[in-house]
Amino acid sequence: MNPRLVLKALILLMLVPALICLLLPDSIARSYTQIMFPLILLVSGILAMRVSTIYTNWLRNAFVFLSLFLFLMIFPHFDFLWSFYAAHPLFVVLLQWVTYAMLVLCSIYVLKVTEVRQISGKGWLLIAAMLVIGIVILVYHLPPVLQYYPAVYKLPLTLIYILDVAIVVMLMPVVLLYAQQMRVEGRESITFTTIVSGVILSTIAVYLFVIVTGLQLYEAPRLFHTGSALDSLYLFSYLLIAVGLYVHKKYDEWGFAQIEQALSGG
Amino acid sequence: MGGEGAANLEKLIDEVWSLFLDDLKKKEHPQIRATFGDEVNLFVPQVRLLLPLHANPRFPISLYTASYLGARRNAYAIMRKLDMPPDFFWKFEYWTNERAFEVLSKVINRIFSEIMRTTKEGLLSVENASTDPKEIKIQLALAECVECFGVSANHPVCYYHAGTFTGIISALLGKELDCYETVCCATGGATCEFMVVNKGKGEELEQYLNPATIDFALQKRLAGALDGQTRPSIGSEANLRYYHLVLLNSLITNPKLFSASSYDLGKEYGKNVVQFLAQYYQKQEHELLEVVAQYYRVLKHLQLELTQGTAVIRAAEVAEISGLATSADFLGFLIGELEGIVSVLRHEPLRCIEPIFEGNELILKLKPQ
Repeated sequence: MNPRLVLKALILLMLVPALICLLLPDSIARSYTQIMFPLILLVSGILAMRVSTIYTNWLRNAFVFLSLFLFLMIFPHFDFLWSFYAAHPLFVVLLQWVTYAMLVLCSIYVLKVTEVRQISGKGWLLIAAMLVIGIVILVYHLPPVLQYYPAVYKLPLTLIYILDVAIVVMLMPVVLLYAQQMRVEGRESITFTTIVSGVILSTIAVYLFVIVTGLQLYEAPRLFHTGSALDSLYLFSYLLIAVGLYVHKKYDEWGFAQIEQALSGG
Repeated sequence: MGGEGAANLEKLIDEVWSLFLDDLKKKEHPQIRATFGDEVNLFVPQVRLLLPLHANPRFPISLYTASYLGARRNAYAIMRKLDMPPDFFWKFEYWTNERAFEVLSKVINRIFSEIMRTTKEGLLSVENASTDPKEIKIQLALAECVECFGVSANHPVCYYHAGTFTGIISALLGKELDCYETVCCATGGATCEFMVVNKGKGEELEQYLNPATIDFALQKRLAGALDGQTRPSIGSEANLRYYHLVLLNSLITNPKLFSASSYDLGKEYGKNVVQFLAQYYQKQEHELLEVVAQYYRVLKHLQLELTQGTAVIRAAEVAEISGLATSADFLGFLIGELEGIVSVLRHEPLRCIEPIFEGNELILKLKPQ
């Protein structure tokens, strides 16, 4: 079994559960997303924790923090807790912060294991461009958000939006290095790049959505669990993370089976 | 390395690697030589390495480096041919010891053992891979080693394999590694043992690559080869592709210079071998022409046509160039050897004018020096 082909096939296959929510009637779409989000995040969290056991040092830490981030991301998807969240805004802020801290720590460790010195000039230009675009989006979207939300959320939200940009900039080198080496030696991990791409997509999904639809950032949360395109984007990003982690864990086994097959003249 | 000649040899090395990887994937191909087939007696490649090792103190490091670079360059071809994912060893330095040991042992035991068995280079295994990914120490054991089987020497001699193992493992792991031989059958070991370590670690490598004069018992080994001395499991022959790689790697550092020096070594060897064969087969002088032809036949080296009094040597199925682009550079040692032999037989120093290639035949016209 060629793990790279399996991964590509699985990524394509994951478009189905991601896009299906767009086609479902509202009431079913609601239940579908309420089940799918926590389920995928739970599975991904477990997979990330399992993957962390095959590494040491910074790379193990990256997967441990990714796993914790994925586990914590389950909580916003429990609709039955939303009344509790509304009554305890400080808890929400704390939860958001802890969740984001996990992702930031994961990104820092990813950056530590990434050979950024190998990034080409074009790559650095792309990173700079992404930083500028991120800042422009923030400048455009942040003031209405701050006006919309109560005072308690203003500072945490501002910092979270800034962190979104920082996380994307920290993770971009992984994708760029993979793209750079894809046609040469292909030494960068296709599965790790898929995982990181999933994380990046989950971070920028809401921004992509508001840019395309022209909505304001503060309007986006009401579209969660409605079978919207935003749900679809988030679902796909988490599914990317899940399949990336799954194939990553199976890579040794499947890769070796492929070698065996080649050696036996298959 | 020496310019265009080295670049051509590099291409040939890559071509040979590609060919024996086809063998590994069990692809059918026509036999390289009609009579002798695809194999040559172990003695033929051995003598091509042992004589320069004895004569030139820089030869060990040159052979090791050339083999390392050739294998490293071709490790990607191995990965592609065996459908091995190029990112299989991604971030090896962060692997847990347990995983590093398990996967590396599996890959080495399966792929390299298969390569070594297919080319009849020996029986390879990971003996004791204490692979802390940050402090790599991989111990490889090669039983029935093609490079030194039957040889008695005062120093380990398997530089080609030390370089080749390091080149492949370095490329797989994406790390700069070194390798030295800790035990060699030539010095009395039961197997040849190699230690692959991080680059620049330890004095062992320094000592290994810069030995004092390497002495070995040439006549004893030649007698063993002619007696049919054979390895218990994989016989007394090696794949021609292995011989080609040995040959090309022994020249690539400076093809013209190394070809010229191997010509001198060959000539000296040729002169001595006639006397040895006369004693070994206990033949009179007039019978030596047949003895020499028999010597080459037994070793599956070439088919020699040598007539009394003639100054023309015709050789067919020459191991050095069969299945490989013909070049006089590969033939320095052989031309010297044949010149030496015929000079002794004709009791006058002879020199080859220019080698001529006719189909699969090599024709050497000799004239008095």
